[in-house]
Amino acid sequence: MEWVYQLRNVIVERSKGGASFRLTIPEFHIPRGSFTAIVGQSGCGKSTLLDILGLVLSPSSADTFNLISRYGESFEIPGKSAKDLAQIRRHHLGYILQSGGLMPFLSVAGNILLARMLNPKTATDPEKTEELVFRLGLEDHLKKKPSQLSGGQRQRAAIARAVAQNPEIILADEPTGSVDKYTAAKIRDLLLQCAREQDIAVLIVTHDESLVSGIADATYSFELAQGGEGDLRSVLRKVA
Amino acid sequence: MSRQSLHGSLRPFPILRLAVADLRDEWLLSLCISLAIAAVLAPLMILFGLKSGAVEILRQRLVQDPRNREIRPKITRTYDVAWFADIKRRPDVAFVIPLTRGISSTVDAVNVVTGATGKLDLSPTGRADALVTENGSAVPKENECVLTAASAEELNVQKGDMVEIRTNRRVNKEFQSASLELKVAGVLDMRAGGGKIAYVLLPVVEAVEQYLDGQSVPEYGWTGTRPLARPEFDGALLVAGPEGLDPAYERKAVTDTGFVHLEKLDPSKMENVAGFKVDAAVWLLRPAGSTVRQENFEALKEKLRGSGIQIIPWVDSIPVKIHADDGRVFQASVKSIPVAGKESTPATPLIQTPDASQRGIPVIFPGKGKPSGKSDSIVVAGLGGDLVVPAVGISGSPAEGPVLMAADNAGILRQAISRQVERDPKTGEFLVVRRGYSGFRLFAKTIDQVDDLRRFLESKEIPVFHEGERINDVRTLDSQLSRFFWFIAGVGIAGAVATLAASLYASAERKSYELAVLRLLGLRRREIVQFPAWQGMLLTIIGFAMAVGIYTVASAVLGHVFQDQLHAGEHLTSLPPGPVIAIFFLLIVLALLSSLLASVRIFGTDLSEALREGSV
Repeated sequence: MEWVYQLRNVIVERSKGGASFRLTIPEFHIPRGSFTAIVGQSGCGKSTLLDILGLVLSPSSADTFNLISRYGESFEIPGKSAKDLAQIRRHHLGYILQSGGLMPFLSVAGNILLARMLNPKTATDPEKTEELVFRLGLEDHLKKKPSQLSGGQRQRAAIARAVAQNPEIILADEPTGSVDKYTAAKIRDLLLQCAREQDIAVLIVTHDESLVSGIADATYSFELAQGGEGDLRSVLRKVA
Repeated sequence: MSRQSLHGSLRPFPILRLAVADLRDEWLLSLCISLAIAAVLAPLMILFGLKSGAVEILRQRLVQDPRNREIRPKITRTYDVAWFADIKRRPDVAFVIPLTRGISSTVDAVNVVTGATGKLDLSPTGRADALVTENGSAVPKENECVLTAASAEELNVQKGDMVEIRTNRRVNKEFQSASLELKVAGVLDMRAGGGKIAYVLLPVVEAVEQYLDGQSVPEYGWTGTRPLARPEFDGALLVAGPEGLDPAYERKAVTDTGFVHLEKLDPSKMENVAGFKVDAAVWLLRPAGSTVRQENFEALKEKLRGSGIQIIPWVDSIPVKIHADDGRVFQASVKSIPVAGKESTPATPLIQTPDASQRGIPVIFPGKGKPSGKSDSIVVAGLGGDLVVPAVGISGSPAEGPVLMAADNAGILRQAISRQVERDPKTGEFLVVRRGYSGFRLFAKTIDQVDDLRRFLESKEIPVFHEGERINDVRTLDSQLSRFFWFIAGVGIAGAVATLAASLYASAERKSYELAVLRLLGLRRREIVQFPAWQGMLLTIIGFAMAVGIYTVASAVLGHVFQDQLHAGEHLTSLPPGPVIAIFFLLIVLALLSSLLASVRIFGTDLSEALREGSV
């Protein structure tokens, strides 16, 4: 099996306002082209895990923390400089944020072209992007600004930008958090379709377990334990 | 669907395109920020334009008025021809012309048609005289004059009319008058000055001065004396009889005669020393000054009356060149000898006093040959130039050695050493050329060179009148206004930069989510920094362009309002490009520095927090 991410014994410790939080990731592997879900209630560590995987936050310690490209290139994340991490993010990671993460001053087309600006060599070619836009039903909204779109349309545009970037993995942080159930299901299906057809791993973080239940290739959740003096311990466990 | 929209690219200058897109998206806010910058810059530009324009108008008026480039001496002294030649060679001198004595330049003038009269000062002019040429007239030709507006008004004349100038003198209790008709070649603008002046060529002014000095001016038919050269001598030989010189006469010879030294000579050496033999006791009398003249000999004769002593004028050996008729040149020296009938002495040889109408002065050449009978010439190098004298050999031929000539003629040659003497070929008379002039009118090429010329002349102990103070006043005004402006500009630019910095900082604060997303998407730090930098530069450029537009409109309005006070070609406001470009680039640099503040804000925020806190 080809892996995109390999994490073993990764520990993240954070403290805020006198309280500390410790996330332990004993074993976490994401295969290429898979649809992986992270579920859990608020404050369990979903966002921290996403920050770790999004290379925004450095772990406190890690036995293994590697990202492997589709060309077999393996990046050992700990110890990388900020510049190197930015390069890896640029070429190998795609993001869909809760509100889309689109540039409000760019049109939908401009936001999709942003992917090509970031990765002129590896991004999908214009024809494929066009096909993607059709498939996502965005063809009539290309000139619109994000503020002129509905929540679902914004998320679809964000998916288009992420896929057009042609990353190893798309990290979707509560992509259905601000849409209705019907739209949420459509977004989930689109992400799943991307994973299958584009051979891009998709990791979706959601508090709505029902959205991914029975659909995700693997589902992870967190075991929470209260430490002394308000400290919180969380351990990532595979649940399905 | 617009296929084209997905076939485009954000390259080249992707960050610039993103920055522009953001500014366009928030165009109203961008416009407000640019207007805020323009609101600070535009008044500064107008202020600077007014300062530059007003100073430039003053400066132009100074430059355009040739009087401001004029320099005149405060004192009267003699400026010789060589002095004028030297000063004319200076690169900062546009025009210089001699002035005659002030008292000799006032004439009566009459309108030959109407009879209107007035007193005018004659002032010499010539080619490149800016006072004339830049005030509406051409330089007058011979028998023409250019009048100031005041003098034309008094005489009621216009260009093309005739005026007669008259000058009067008193000679031997007799009043004499001379006149000259001149055509009015032009009337100067009022700017040339309010004096009653007639500008004429230098020879006219010189002629009036000569006439008032009692001399004739043959060119205009004015009668009088001629400036004949008067012999000068280095001393006198006293030749006594066998009884010698009475001590009483020795005292008399040096009392009130101009002579002070008395020295006894050895008669046997006289032929070597003087060129002639003396068989008696001989004394040499020397003057107190450098030379003595006829009046000193008259006084000496009076003192020695009845003593039986012969007085012979004495000239020290004068170095000369003999230019022989056949082209050869000899170094020689002139010695004076007594002339029969004038100073009767035992000396020999004696030659006749030359007749003025002769072909030249008679001389005894040192060569052993016979006189050629042709015209040889003797050249004396003097301070004022060479004097070339035709010489007629009485005996001998041109060669190196002593040339003997009558004491009177040797005295003329002696004078030619210390001042310029010329020989009138028609009459054979020796005339002294004027020593120089009592003043000058001088124009610097530019007003900026007036002060240099003033310093030069004052270093030569020639205090001068000039308009340097007016020029310096304008410079000082310029300098003071510049300080004033730069102070306000400093405060204003600080305000503009504060506006810009605050706007960029606020923008970075507002866009922290979008900038965090860009960081998340992998834009490097140096790329993110470009975002506020481009925006700062663009807003500054737009604000600057708006300020230029506002300045242009305000400048046109001001020019229209004050058009009555402006001369043709003058502008009340003017923006010199140098400082404007400098301010522009300073603002750009400050805008970049301001954007750094925004960058600090961007990178001071934790990326994960910025992503969580923001929302579209």
